[in-house]
Amino acid sequence: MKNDHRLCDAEALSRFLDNEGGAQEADRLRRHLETCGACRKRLAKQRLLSRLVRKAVAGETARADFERLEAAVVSAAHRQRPYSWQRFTGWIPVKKVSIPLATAVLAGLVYFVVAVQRPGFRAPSAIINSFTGPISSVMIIETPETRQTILWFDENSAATDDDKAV
Amino acid sequence: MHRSFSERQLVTLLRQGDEGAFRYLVRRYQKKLYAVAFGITLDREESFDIVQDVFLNAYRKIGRFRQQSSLSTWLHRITVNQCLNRKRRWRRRLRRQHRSIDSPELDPVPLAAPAGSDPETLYNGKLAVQELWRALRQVPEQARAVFVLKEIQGMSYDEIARDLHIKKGTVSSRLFYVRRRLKAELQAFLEGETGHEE
Repeated sequence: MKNDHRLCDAEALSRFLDNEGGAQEADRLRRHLETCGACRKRLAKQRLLSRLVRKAVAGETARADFERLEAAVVSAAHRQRPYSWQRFTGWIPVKKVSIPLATAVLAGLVYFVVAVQRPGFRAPSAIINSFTGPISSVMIIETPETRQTILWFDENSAATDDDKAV
Repeated sequence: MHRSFSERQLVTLLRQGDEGAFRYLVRRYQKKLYAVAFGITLDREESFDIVQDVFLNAYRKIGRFRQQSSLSTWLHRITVNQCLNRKRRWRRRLRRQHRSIDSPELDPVPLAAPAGSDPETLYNGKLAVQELWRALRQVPEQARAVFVLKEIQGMSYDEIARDLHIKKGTVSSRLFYVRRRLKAELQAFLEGETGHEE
């Protein structure tokens, strides 16, 4: 039977090697491979390449020091957070819930401290009486907790009186 | 003490913090994960670091593993993601620039030859592996990941497409691209082995 190279399809051969092209494509390629030496050779090279890769990676894996890897992994795992905390965080969708929740709690705390617990914020102080005389002035201020009396002395007028006395 | 667990038991024990279960997990999967990591990174130390990170990630996140896929699939998925997203790439590359030319890092592992193989066969096998690593290094990492998942893991196109978030057609074309490129680079070796049938 004569070769028909219009049917040579390297990508389809790649799928054929992986059993992925579907039954119809596989049948067509099987028939084509019976008559096409070039495609048979392509397929043989692909198979050889697969074997080479698998053997090379297997050789590389055999060379690795897995005892060192296991020791390093277990040691690093010991340094990690305890499992109890991990189990707790495991079922909480951490980022979606905990961050907004923590922000809301923090905002509430700040409001409570600043607005509610601030000393003297609940009621203003008041001047309940004041007097002004020639030598001094008196002012009485009342807050919810205390009553304050403030006195001012006019030192100039006092000194003048003393001078007059001499 | 050597214990054996079913997958469900293993997950349950890992969630309870059982160290024996964790060691079992590491022993059971480290070779397979290392093979995938090495196939993608082509760097021994980096693959070592990646596999270590994968197990630590699994240790931390086992509470969130919903068992909708197998433990093996879950671990392989983490490994591929770590390989493709690794941030230590530049640090490693910088370190590699200072590596001695006598370093055994680039020394290829010879193919397992049948008993009694002559030195020439061993030499050719070693050379073929050396050529393979060199050729694979020239392939983009995303395409190499597809190739490794197919050739080393034996995953189907659908599984690869799902894990790498690409279309099935892209899996097919990337595999074809890598194979064509490798065949071109390893032409002499492949011709020698397959003969000249036409």
